[in-house]
Amino acid sequence: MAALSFLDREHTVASPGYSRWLIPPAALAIHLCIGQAYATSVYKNALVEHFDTSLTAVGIVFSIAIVMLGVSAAIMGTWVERVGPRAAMFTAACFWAAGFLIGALGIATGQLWLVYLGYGFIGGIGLGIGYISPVSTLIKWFPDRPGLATGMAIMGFGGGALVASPLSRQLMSFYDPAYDSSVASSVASGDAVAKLFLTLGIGYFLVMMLGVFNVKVPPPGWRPAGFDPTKLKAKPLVTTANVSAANAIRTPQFWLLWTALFCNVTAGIGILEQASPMIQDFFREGGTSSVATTAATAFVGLLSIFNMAGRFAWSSTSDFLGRKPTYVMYLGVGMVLYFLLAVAGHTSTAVFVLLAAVIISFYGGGFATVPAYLRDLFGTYQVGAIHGRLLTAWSAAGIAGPLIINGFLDARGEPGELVAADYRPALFTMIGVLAVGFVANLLVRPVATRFHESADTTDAFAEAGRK
Amino acid sequence: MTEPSAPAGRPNQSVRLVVSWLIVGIPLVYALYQTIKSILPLFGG
Repeated sequence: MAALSFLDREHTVASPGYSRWLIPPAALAIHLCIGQAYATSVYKNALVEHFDTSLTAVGIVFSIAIVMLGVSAAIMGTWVERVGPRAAMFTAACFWAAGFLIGALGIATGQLWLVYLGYGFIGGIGLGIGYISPVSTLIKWFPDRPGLATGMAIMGFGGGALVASPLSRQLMSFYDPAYDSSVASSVASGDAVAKLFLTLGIGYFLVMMLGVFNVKVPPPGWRPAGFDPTKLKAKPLVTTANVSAANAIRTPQFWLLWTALFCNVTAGIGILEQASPMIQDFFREGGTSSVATTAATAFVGLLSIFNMAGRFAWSSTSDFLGRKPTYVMYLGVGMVLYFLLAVAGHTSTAVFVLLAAVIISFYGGGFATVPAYLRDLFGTYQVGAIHGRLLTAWSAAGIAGPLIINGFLDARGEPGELVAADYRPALFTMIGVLAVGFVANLLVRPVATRFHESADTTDAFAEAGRK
Repeated sequence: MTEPSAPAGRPNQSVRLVVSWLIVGIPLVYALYQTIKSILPLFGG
């Protein structure tokens, strides 16, 4: 279609002088919007009441979305590389917005299955494509600072939930004056949530269009002023060769990194999932916790900030430390922090909060550093598609993390009666999980040359982008 | 090909850069403000 020809890859090649600093806000525009996926708890109770159903039934909406994120990122990664970032971002915006609009229709008509189909299935595809769409382009624009570049974008995903939570509360209060977000028992009407979905769908589409119009790929052979690629070659584990996505998954390096990411995310999700009751349980004596519910909710907000900050700070630091040492820190220091949390976390709230905050910053950092780690190992050729396949580790960890922590806690007692000691078996298990990831990361070596693409293949790919 | 990527490379890019960063920066600042406001009870505020 001629009207959509601006999406074609050949129309996205930057002309001389195009500022590469327009690319991070383009990426942020996408990630800030799709990061809303982690703010679904804001309207969960309202949906339960509106559909007169269980928390589990409503929770399925989120589960479908996250599963579709992993599936679509893995399956569509090569397509995203082929069509380029602009078409991918536009597709993500259409799916993400359509998900909200169909979800709104489902809420307005009392059809929960439409919310599953809309927000969960269709929106989830938008999540997956949107998540990987800017990664490869950022790495190509910032060959000198790939960790900084991907850190900025993936920080946006963490920031998206921070933006969506208060925004959704304020919008629901606006659409339903009887709803008071400061009162825990207050629940917004279904009509207000439907209007919220409608507003978010339109708003997110417009913001994501900023990304669509700003994103461009650098011309083949472009490099930033003063950047010397030969210096990259001198760094251990950083390749100037290229590996295709199909070949990457045949290498031990891919699966070692998959394991390292899986372990880091599993451990982090264990804490994130349980954050609010956990801080209350750690300071419970004689059946009463010294940490109030409002403070526990505040603790979750604090973790969100560290999750977001860790993505930017640690990923940027990895440009200087190196990717492998940075993962040694996430997993190695992480083990020490989990041990301290288990044995000394109950001594004071300051110690508990500090330990948990650093652990969550490592969790976020792991997500943001991994695209640059992939680029170091496999080159830039199909790094976005390889990243998409690696995100299946996230989906798997999303199942394993809560299973581990909830399994142990269920065996120790009833919610609301647990104490710090009840968390120790789960926390020591997480140390074991981190140890597995630590070893996997240590085993990462440069990719064997037999997996490298010939220069002809990658040149043809670059040439196709220029046409 | 080595290209300077400074914003001054094109005159109209400075405006585009400022607007683009504001569109993503303002929601982030709003979110941080709202979250910090909500975590004050943790520190007895």
